[in-house]
Amino acid sequence: MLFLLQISGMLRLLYVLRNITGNQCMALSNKAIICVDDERTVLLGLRDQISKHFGNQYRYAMAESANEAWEVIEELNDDGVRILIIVSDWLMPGVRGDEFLIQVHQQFPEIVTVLLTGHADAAAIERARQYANLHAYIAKPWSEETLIEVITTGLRKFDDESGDCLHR
Amino acid sequence: MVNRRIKDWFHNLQVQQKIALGYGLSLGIAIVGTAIGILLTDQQQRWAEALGRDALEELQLLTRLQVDALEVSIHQDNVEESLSDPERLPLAYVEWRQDYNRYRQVWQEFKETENHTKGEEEVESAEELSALEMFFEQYGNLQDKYFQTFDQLPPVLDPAAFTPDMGIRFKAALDKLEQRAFSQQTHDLTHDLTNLTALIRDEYELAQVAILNASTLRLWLISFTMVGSAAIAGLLSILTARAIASPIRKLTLMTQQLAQGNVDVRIPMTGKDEVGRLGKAFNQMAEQLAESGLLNQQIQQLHQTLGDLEKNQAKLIHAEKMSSLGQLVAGIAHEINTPLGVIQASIGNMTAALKQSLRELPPLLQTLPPAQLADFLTLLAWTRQPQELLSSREERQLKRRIQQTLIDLGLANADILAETLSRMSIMAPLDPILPLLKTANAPTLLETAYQLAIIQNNSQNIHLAVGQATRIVYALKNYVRQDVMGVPIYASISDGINTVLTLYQNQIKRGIKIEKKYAALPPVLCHPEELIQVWSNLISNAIQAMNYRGNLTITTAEQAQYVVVQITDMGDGIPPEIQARIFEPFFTTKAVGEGTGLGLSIVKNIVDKHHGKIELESIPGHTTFTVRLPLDPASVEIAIAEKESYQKLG
Repeated sequence: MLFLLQISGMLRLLYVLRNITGNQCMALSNKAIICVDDERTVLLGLRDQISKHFGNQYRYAMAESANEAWEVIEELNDDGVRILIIVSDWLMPGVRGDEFLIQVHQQFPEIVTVLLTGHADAAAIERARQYANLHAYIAKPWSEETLIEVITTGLRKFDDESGDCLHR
Repeated sequence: MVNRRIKDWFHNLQVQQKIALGYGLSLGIAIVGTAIGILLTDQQQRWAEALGRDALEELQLLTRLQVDALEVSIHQDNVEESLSDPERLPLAYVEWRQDYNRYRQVWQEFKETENHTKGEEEVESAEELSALEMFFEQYGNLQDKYFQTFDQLPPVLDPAAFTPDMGIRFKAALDKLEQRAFSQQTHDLTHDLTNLTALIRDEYELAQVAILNASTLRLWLISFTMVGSAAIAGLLSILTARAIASPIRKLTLMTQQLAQGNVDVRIPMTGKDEVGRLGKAFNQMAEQLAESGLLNQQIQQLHQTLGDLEKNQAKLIHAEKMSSLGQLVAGIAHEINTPLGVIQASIGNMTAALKQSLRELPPLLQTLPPAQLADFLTLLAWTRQPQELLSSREERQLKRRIQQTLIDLGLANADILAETLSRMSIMAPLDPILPLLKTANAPTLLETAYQLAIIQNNSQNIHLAVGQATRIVYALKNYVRQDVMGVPIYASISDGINTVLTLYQNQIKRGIKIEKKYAALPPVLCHPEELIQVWSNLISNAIQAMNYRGNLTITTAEQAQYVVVQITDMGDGIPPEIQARIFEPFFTTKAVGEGTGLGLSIVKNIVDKHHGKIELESIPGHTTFTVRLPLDPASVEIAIAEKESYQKLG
């Protein structure tokens, strides 16, 4: 009886392990999603939401300011990681979200930009649309569905290049 | 037009002039009327008198002519009779001759008079003139022939010298005279003269009537002008009385009304006479009375307003507080929305992680070899330990450190393991779990552990977010609270300042760097919610002065029983010319609708209430508001009371 239980447990473990390993690479992805927000708690919430849905398909980098975000971008570039999406808060000390995304767009036109804002500052959004090719803006408090949908639609722009994590 | 001009002219006359004009007019009319009457009738009377005089003279002449003609005729007859008696003849002749001479003289006189009066038609009637003309035509030549014949007669003066020859010649001459028919005609002449006399008497009577008429006319004219001037004088006196008395009556009435308190009465007088001036003076007085009345009313209203303001000061302060809060609300809502979003996200993450953990953990625990299970449980224990939330930078550094360690140890999947471990904030040395990490399925095991860490991390996240929201709500509550009791309590100054900073977090975040230089201060006996309003106004002004970018320095210190709070910004500063006015109520440099203009006035009010002082020091790029508050306001109060009573006694 105990033996049978141990057997069944082993089988379930194997099943679980296969489930986990079967649909993900056993290494970090070379594609990244960056979240920028001056609130650390917001960043943690965002990362867990995104990683829950996309698992290890992407790397998830966090920055608490525009300046730090540039550091992260540099590090990822050095590591040969391609940045797909940047989700940025608007109201942050120092450089604001719209300015930051515009600067990013000037250097990396292929990066999809998303603005996460508590204040719906129409002028800032319009600037970002015009000069940063803004993909979407999400109002705080945001819902998980919205966030995931925005990111999913943003990622579709890179669909033709997907699935290369196995051939790393 | 002219009528109106006269009216205006009369209107503008002085009362004295008006009276003089009235008297002058009536007297003038009387004098002029009488004079005209006298002048008019005087001429007529004079004419009538001349006429009468003329008629009288003519009558006299005619009578004499008649008498003399008769006498000449008688004495001629006497001479004729005396021819036979030479003794009587000379006497008769002398008498005859005397009569003849007199008659001739009167005739001549009469003739001259009539010739003379020929040019004066006004005194002779046409009938008389034609009668005279006929008379002279009939008798003029006859007379002349008679006079010639008479002169040819020899004078018979001496009876002795008279001869019958002379008598014959004389008789012949007399016959010749008779032939001249004078004698026969003398009767006719006398008759005609009588007729003429009657005519002239008529004329005389006519003249008498004319004189009577003239005097009657004069009487009429004079009485008429007298009555007329009396009427005009009466009319004028009534008019003058009305022009003077009626405004005075009106004035009396208005004065009574004014005395009864009706300050709106005005006299509709425009005249330039004394009464008009009196009216004007009255109107001025009434206006001044009205003005002073209005002034009194305004003063009363102001008193009332001031009283209301004092009564409502607490309300006003609260209203200003609410007004600035209104401008903060959007930012505060965002500041609350952020933790709410975090909580929402974290709950979703925890639910998902819990689901996954419940699915994966039991088989894992059951199948894991005991050694690995111990390591796994150690790892889980680490994640459960309360950890400080790492910043993203710290987390990246941690990841790099772990990755390097794992690479140094020659582990496969170093990057993915380091990623997961850093997300779990594993700061402890990795030695205890190294055997676990070295296993082939280490990434999967770590991933399962990470699911539990997610629950831990997100619950901590919720905790933080709730704290954040609570802090804001608490600050709001502190800010909005009204001091119901009105009793000062001991409170921390820096807590109040921090409350304000929390509320302004959203504005500060845009580009303000806060530099806090707080000294350790004892609690101050104060009205904390009022002081919060002071800090709120000063900090809000500072932020706006810098246009949301720059350094805001807040310094607190204790100096000689006073707490000194300094709030310094890098804004453009306050121009010296308005520095003295900024604490006035309703003084504002902001656009309409951007502020109540009461902020600094209320700040000053609250500081005064705490027996403190507020000072301003401003140059472009450096503006400092310094608030000094006594640590023990009661002692200051006593000191002030003592000083006041000392001054009163002094």
